[in-house]
Amino acid sequence: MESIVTYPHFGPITLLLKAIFLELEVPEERIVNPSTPNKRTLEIGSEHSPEWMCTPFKLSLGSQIESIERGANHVFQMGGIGTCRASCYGPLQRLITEDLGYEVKYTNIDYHLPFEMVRDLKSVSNNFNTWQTLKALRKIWVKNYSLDLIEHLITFYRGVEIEKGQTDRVAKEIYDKLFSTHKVKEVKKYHKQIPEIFKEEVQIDEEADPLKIGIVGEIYVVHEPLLHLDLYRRLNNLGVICRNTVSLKKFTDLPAKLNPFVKEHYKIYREKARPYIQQYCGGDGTETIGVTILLREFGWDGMVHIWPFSCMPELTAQTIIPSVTDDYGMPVLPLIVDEQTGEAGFQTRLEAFIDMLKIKRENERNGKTQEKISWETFNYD
Amino acid sequence: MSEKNSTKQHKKRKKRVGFPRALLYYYFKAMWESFFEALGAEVILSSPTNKVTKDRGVLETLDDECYSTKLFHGHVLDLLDKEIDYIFVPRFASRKKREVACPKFVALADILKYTKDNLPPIIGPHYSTSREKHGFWRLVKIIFEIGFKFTKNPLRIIYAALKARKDHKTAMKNVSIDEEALKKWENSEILLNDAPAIVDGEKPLKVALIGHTYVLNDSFASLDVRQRLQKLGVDIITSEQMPRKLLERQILRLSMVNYGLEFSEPEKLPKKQLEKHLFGRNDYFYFEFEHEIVGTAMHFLENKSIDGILMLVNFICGPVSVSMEYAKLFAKKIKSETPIIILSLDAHTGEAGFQTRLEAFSDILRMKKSTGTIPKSVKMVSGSIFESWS
Repeated sequence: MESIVTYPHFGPITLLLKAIFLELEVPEERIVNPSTPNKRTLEIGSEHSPEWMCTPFKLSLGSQIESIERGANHVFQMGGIGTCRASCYGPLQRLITEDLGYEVKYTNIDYHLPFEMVRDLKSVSNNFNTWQTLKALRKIWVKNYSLDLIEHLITFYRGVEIEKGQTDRVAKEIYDKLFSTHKVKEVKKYHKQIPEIFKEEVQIDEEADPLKIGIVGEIYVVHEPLLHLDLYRRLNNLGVICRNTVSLKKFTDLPAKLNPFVKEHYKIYREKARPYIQQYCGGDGTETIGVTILLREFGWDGMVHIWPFSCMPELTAQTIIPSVTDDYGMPVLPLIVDEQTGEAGFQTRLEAFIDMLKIKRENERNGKTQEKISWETFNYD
Repeated sequence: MSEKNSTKQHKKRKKRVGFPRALLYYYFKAMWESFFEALGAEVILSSPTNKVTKDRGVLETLDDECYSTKLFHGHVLDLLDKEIDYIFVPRFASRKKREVACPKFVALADILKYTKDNLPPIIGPHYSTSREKHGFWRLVKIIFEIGFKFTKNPLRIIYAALKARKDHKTAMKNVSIDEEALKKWENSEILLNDAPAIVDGEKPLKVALIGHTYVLNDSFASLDVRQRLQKLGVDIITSEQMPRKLLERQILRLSMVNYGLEFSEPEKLPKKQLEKHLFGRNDYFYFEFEHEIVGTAMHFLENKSIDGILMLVNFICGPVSVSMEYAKLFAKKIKSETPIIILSLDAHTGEAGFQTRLEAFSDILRMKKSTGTIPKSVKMVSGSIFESWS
């Protein structure tokens, strides 16, 4: 039986996962790209998942089942020996889909086992050897830098743009250009141009005085628009610029991992969190605390902490965060999402939070004027 | 004169170490107690769980914490009233290479530090074999770091550590039985727990009580489930009593199921083949304390040696949500006829409802025993607290 590959939907990162198989030259008829998930996807997923499982599991299961119904029979999913439940996804979903009567092969990708990972990817590629596979994977982590950059640029420019919708249009063009470029050199060259393109094409309101809000939380929820209910757009529409601080870079940034002189971003976050929690507590829990402190030092106004119901590491972080707020004066809005989160309550809470942040900023500023905003002052990388 | 006496007494007074009677304490109580006592410390336990503990714990924690964590906070508050010098809350992550505990355990000490006022110094050694690759030397470091807080004599510390190790081993041996004893229990030759009451002159039912050690051994948290079952004429075996080797074997089988090797017995496979399939494979069920839950359920679902399985779990417990699903899927896959009921507990579980469910379950088991089938009027899946029947 010929394997028809699929993978779960993962917010904007889906583009990256799609690119992996594109670079491995998997023929088009042997790959099923997941469709954009909707409420139905989530319903299918929750119906067949354990009741207390975290929402990302349910959505990714629903997304897989939809792909399987469209003909896929080989799923790539997370696996391994983890600290939280995320690494159980693959093995458990395999049993569930088998119970539903599908004949599906699962390959569990574990970044702790790089050799197995390369071997598994090689096996689905277009008769690639190991060197070719590695070269294909290299393009992925190079593109991941650009993906992060574009995401940050979008959430910045959309908050202060004059003509609504301009940023999205520019972003779409850039995404198309980026994922149709295949040579690493060209991608790197294009990467440097991306901020310039945004600067030229999007007119921003220079008089604007937006709040700056960071977003932390569980990686899947932070990226998946269906689960975070389009949080970034909501914040941008309220005249706020925001920034996602959770990145897949943690797993894919191999050059930084191999280079002893570069400190990876998540290690910086963990160091910041050290006074509060010394050891790794699973998922992105430790980083959540570190980012909260770091962004306060950069002069940001607030944080939104978003995580799926029953997520264990983020719950730990949430228990400690009130004392971080006390010590540093960084307001944090906790938002718990699951498959039944309502939009109205969500919006109300965001609006109330932003109003309170504005009052706080007025008091702190004490009549001083704000310097003009630009991407350079916003970006802290 | 009296002042001098009091200072003398103060000098002689042993240092008091407090243990919250919750979570990991139930797994390691023999080890911890004998270690600290041999070091010359006085071990202070929080009082057994009661309504006050529960109410204080529930007020203290976030809503989505599991019931046992809520009780843990209640126990800590209880300890704070008892004038302790240290509180012992280890940052325990894992003790085997490929296994981890619940991710909440590793951060308990830090959570306490930032949620409780006037907390005494925490003794919270961090130990993680799977992620930080801690091993023997880390253990030595921990032992001496703790030891020098209580005594200056290194020999005494070594003695305490060895004694703790020995006591832990004997305690584990006393709790869990070997496979011969399990066979004997299955054939009703021996009793493992209190003798069940005899109801209507019938033979006692045989039920496996599955759950975390910290739920089953806490009579308040588990709503006295052992006594209730005993009165209903049920002979029980708990998941912590199961032979360890058998459980590990079941877990190995589970990861083989994931690889399409149809439930073949691991010991029947040649060792090389087994290693080839399992080494480097990344679908091992890595939650350590779930092994006894899934393993016991798998064993009894397959062997028709008992009448039913009762699973007692905390509401919204993360690892259990996975192991419950494993048990259910396994039961479906092998078309098991052993009835399994999953009851979830939280701070609001009422006694009356709990008792009704236990009675209904035991009645159905008796009916099945006498007639051979479950009556058709019984719904197989229902309501909130009945997680499922199968």
